[in-house]
Amino acid sequence: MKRFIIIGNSAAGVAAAEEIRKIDNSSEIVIVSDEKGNAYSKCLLTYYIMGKISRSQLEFKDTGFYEKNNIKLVSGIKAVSINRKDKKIVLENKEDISYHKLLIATGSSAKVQNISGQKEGAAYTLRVIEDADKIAEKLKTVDSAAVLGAGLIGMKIAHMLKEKGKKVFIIARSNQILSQMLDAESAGFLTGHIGKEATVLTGQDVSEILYSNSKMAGLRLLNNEKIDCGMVITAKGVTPNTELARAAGLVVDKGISVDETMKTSDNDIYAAGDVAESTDLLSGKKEIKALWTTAVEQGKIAARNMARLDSAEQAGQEIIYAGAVSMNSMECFSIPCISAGSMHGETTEVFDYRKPGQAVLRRIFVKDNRIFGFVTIGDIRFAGILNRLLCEKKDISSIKNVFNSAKLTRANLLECIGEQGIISSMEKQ
Amino acid sequence: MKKIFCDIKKCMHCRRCELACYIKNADVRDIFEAVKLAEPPVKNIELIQMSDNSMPFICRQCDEPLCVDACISGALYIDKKLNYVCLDKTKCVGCWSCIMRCPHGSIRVSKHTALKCDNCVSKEKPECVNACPTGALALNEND
Repeated sequence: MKRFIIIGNSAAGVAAAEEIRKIDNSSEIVIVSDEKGNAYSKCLLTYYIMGKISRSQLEFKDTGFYEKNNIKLVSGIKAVSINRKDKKIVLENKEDISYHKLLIATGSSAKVQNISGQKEGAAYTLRVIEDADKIAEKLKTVDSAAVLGAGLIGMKIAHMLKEKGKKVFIIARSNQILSQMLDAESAGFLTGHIGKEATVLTGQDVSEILYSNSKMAGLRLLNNEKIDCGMVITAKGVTPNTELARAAGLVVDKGISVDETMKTSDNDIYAAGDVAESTDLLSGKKEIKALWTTAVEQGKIAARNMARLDSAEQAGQEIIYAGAVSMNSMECFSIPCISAGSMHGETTEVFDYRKPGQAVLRRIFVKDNRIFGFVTIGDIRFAGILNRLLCEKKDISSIKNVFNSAKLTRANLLECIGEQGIISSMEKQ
Repeated sequence: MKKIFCDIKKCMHCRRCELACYIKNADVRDIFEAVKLAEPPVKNIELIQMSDNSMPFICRQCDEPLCVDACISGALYIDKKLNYVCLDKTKCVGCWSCIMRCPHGSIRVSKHTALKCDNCVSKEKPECVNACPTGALALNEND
């Protein structure tokens, strides 16, 4: 009997397993993960610490997901190597399991930043459930906390800290918050609106952790300034878990290199999610997009190719992954924000719209009558359609003139796409 | 899968579909109760004035819904019985990934969670279809 092995039990791995099962009802599917228990969503950890959701709600699949789909879950055991010659993976307990096709979806880990003077119980990172529990425990003993890094995760942590009633410091090395998600102008606008909730220090870094009676008392910054806080959480981005692939001799660059079917340099091994590279739809460059939605998309495409390409009649019917666009959404201190694409350099026109007196900003970046990037803050209603115009590389010259005004409506966006809504198809003919 | 369709020759633009959706989402008996609410209810169906005609827009119930793939919490799911794309509000954390991905702009913000049309999965027929006085709106098998 054929056996599919998936290493990794998160967005990409779970989506792939589910997709393989949709196509192939009989083969064995095994998910191997070093983390114990059912799959859970790491993106939800800040909500879990906040108390907005329970521990069981971290699990994004229904109870009984593995049983219902006849997926064998080997959890709490690390896969330590891949024997490509014999098509086997080796587990840390020395057992091996042979595969017909293998998917590497090992995800990414939090980048660690060692701070001078760091002792136990001062600096934390947030990546797995255990980290969340440790942070929740520590928060009971402190009144103020600093977040090192102002990316999406950093800002989500900062928001969580505020919701927990703490005094919050956000320390960003770059000159703006959310530098991967926003252009400087939008970041400045958002910083202005969250300034009442948290102290944002940009262009700064920590030089050492300060203690008083062996308890953390605060941080010294590069400019010698001191801030008082009881803990620091670092959020300096993630790094792909490529060790397994590298050791197996697969081609790895920034992440595991894959072709447009999500296949690695080995014909029987695929990769998806935070660990795999994908082509940026705008620049054409190979990049890692550590995004939930990309991980699910890649997992499904890998799965379809893994499950279908064997039979001769389906040869040449690969499912092609066109690539990904950077996109992010978040609620930043109660202000919803969605952005996508590129907001730097190559665009030639910027359309700016603000609602006076409100935390509402929309910026659309255009080149050659195509949207290359956009930011929506405060009013995110049109983000999905703008994203579609961007991804489908639509000509937007017919509506460009209202991009910087309140006259941009759902109607003109839908018209630009050629959307016919719910008219029955009889009439469309 | 069944989807809501509109025969625009029959549509009088009376907006009763919108009202019915408001009332359903607010979980009240009628529009008089709905307008008294502290926060105005949100509707999933919207009559949009295009350049040459008005027509209602609503979730397309995509066969491969991007919103479900984007959901980080498992709040968006495909109903097993009828295959409708549904939202479990108790699981939604308000990350807005679905709004970022929906190519039709069909998902709304309601208080702190997303809101989307589920074809009134718990009822026999969608409320907007029930409310349509001319029979322009109908729940039909996708053709």
